[in-house]
Amino acid sequence: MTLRLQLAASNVYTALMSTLRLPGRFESLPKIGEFVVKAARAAGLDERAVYAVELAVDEACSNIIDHAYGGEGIGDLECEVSWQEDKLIIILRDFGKPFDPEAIPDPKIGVSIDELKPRGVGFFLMKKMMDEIRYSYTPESGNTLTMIKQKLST
Amino acid sequence: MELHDRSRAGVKILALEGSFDTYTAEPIRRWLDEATRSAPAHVVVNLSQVDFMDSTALSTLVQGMKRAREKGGELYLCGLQSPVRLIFELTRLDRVFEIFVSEEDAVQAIKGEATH
Repeated sequence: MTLRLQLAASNVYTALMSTLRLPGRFESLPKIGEFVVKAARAAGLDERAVYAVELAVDEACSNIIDHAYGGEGIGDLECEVSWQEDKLIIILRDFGKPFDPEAIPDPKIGVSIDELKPRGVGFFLMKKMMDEIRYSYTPESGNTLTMIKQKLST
Repeated sequence: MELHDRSRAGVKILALEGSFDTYTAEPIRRWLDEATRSAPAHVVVNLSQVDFMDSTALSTLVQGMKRAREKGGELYLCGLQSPVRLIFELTRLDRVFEIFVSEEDAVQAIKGEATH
């Protein structure tokens, strides 16, 4: 009986996962934001980390619509969240053009107002906000962006 | 996102409420374009009720500041909440923008700028 209870508890533990699929339009971003904020709070992240996660997901989804799909209404955005004792894991999938995050240069930070360029700021913020970002592409499953936020980070 | 605008002693004030992001930035960009159409363009953006900002919001404010300066004015910010301040720190825009705690302080400072 004890063993069975432990197995059941273990199953509940790994089942803390949820997926949302919405059209790749900017009007979907607040809904995806609400979805990840709820998950981040449920995972026990503090408010600064919750904002970090919301911002990273917002920037990633904007990039998918603008660059992977090349516009609104071309394809879907899929967001999967799962959490473990020490971290929140977010997986974003799309079926747009593959992209290489390493090819995106960091923006010039700390330059004068006249030299400031918004391009590249989104991906720079994603890297700053999350503890780990992984990217993969296959023709079958499209672009997969995995972002991890540890509970005890800023 | 709600926009509340008012004017005090020749300073145009835009108080925002809600999320300032890719989805909501367009009416704010239009307001800033209009407010910086004629010189001198002195603008204060009150962010005390803004709970979320992204890179599109930053870009909108940077463009507004450039336009204000082109018209011999300034764009100051006030009332940043703690999580929102993070995005300014990471991009070092907290060193580019003049940021005040209260709207009153921002208005007084921009009026002081105007008399120079």
